[in-house]
Amino acid sequence: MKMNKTTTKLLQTIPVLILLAVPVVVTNNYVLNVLIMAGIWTLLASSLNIMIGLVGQLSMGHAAFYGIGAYISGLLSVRLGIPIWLGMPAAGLATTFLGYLIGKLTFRVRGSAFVLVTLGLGEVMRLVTNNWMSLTNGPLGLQGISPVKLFGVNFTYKHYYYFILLLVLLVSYIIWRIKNSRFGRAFIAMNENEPLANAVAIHSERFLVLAFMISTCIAGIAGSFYAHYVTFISPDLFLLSNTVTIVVMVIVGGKGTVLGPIVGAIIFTLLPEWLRAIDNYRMLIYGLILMFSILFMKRGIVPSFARIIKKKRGALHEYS
Amino acid sequence: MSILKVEGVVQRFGGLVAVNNVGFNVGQNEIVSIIGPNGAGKTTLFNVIAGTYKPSEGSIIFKGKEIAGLPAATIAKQGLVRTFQITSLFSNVSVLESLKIAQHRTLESNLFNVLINAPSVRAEEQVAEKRAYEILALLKLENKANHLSDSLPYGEQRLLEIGIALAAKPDMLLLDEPAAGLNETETIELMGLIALLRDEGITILLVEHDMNLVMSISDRILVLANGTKIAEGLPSEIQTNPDVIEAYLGGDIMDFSE
Amino acid sequence: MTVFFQYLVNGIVIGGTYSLIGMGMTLIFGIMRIVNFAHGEFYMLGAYFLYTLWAILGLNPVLSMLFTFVLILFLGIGFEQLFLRPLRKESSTSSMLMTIGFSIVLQNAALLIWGGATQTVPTLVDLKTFSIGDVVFSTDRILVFLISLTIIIFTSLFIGRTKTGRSMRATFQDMEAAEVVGVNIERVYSITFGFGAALAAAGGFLLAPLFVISPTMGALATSKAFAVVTAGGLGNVRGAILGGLLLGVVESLGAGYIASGYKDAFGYLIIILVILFKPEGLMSRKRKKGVHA
Repeated sequence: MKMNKTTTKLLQTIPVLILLAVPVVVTNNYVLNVLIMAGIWTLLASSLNIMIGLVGQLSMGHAAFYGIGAYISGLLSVRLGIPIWLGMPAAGLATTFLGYLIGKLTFRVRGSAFVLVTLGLGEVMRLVTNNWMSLTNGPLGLQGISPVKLFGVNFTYKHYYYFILLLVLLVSYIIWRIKNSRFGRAFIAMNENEPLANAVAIHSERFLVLAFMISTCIAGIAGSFYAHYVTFISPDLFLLSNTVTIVVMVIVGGKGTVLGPIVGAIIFTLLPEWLRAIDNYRMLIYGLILMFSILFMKRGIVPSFARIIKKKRGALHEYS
Repeated sequence: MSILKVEGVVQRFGGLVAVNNVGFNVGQNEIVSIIGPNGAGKTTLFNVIAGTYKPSEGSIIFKGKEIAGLPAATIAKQGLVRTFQITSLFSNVSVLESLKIAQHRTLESNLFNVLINAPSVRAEEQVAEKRAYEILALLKLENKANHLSDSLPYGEQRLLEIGIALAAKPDMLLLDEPAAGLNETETIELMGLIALLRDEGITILLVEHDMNLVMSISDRILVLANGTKIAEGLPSEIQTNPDVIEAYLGGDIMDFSE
Repeated sequence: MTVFFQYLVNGIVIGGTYSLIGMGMTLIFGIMRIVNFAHGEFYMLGAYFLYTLWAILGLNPVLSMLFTFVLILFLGIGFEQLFLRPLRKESSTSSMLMTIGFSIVLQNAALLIWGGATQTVPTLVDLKTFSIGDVVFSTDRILVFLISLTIIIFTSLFIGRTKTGRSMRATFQDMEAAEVVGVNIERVYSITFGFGAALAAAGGFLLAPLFVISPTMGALATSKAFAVVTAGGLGNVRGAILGGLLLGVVESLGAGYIASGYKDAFGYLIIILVILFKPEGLMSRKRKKGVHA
């Protein structure tokens, strides 16, 4: 399928323009709040996609990095009065470093070991934040995190919306750039065929660690945003169900694509809002969706749609 | 001048000695073949040289540097690139993209430049794309650029494997049974390709069962049997060497699958 | 010193059930090469099935346990055939994700069926205590330990002595070779998964009378099973038995001497330390692993 440059540019610009215009049209804070949450989930899903979709490693502790980012930023704010503008970089750096450490130590053994360690990290963090009362206030959670303020302006829903939109666009851009560079190609190569990747001089371990660092950095930043947006955090951030939700978003949206996790995050943030009446069934439905999309829609929504469109345009050979 | 110098290499697996005290040299721009009955230790020796195994003993000098026991990717980075006996591709990636992946060794842009899409990165990407198309032309696969590697017919897959190795701009290629499963026409094409690569200045070491191919393109031949080197010489010398004939015909062709 | 022995005994009793859960998981991993994230949910179902059959429907407790074991066995077999078999050619990540999906479904289905409130299951026998020296033993815990031991021995015999067990060991060592010599791999996979799930359920119904039960108890059990099999070496059955006892003792001593709030963190500590320093498991002497029975 060959599209000319203007069409491509338009296709990229129009959604962005629409997203920019949203707060002008929508003044309902409830709707804005849902959209902001969708933005946070998009960051998380996009970052996990680097692991699941590009390098092909399942990180089951993604909520841990989200939570750690939130707690670092939150504690800096509550205990030391440090604003988000320093707290967010600190959270990002800390989770990046943690990603480096865990990656370095576990990728020697790969696969299931990585799943186990990341899963364990989430649980350990939940126990620590629950039990270390003097620092984290335990299960009661950390209250009174300072809301975001810039140039004397206290952020309202509208500002938070633009802030998260900026982060989402930035992260999507970064992932898109990486995906189409020698780095992204190295990630995909390792996922596809590691011995062959090694044979063409790609140090798999090095790139696995790099991918994990980028992934954990974004999760930490999302956590920091959450802490300053909601201004209250609790050990529930580390719950496995959060990681599972992110995994479902990536798989159903379409792993390995830039757009897939975004679509997944939006669907699974909006869905529970519409399905409030049957909230009890939510996780059950998520589980079933996950199981059946693994069986019947392996590529996820975005790649499947892309395929249908290409088919219609008669350019089937690219996938044949 | 030799580009690869293998000395006293021993590879043990538990009590089993798969490669026993093997040594040989490969000169710059030579084509050297390793032959021997099944289970002679050829592929094991290959894997030792390419860094899949760490040799129990011995030294391997490539371009003047010791490489024995280094990780496979490090050895490849130094210009010694291998192919695999069983077809090994990036299955769900297009042919063109595979050839770009394989150029990793020669690409240098850092992450920051990638993120800001610096001019140097764009230039590098263009060079990579151009080189990928050059290789496609060499393999006569231009019209398959956007096909998934998996969807190619077998013969073209084997060609693509060599193309991938080539994209890494190797100084020396290790080809592990490149003709396995090819028909006669394809084998002849392969021979042409190997000769062409040599003309481009690449040194080639290959393991191969197809005697026609080995005898007609090799400068020198190395014969392994039961993990030991039993002969080395010109194709004409090997064909008449009594030890070699013994190994192939009368010898115990025991197969402890490589 | 008495306190120490008391903790030790308590740890070993609980550890026996951890061994069961761990054996189940290690069998599944060793033979099918997938980490079963739904393992804890089979454990949870074991507890709830016993609760339903015995505490609610009033069936004989021994029969209830047997029923539960068989029901979970078939649930595992069914899940394997319907949802894991089609993924055999995919990467193991797909299978792992499938078990994650199934664990969510089971957990939330249990929430809907039995409600979120915790339940208690009556003890299996009249609760009596006796002491040897200053160490106190209670009849219900002793019984739990004896039943665990019986199931462990039964499982070892099953793997070691039966035809199916031989097929399982052959598949473990070399799947392709086993297939060549006529082992029905599909059947081995189904039985392995079902049997592994049933062992987890056994852990569940044995511990149910000692603790309260809740639909979310599975997640913790999964993580403990991970700890047990990581310590024992993934795929090593004897390692899992010892790993279970080890985890039980470490938890008991840790909760007693260090901090009870962190009791459940010790399992993860074991996982992380073992993976970092002895990734092939604590029990392995050689790198080569086998199903020891």
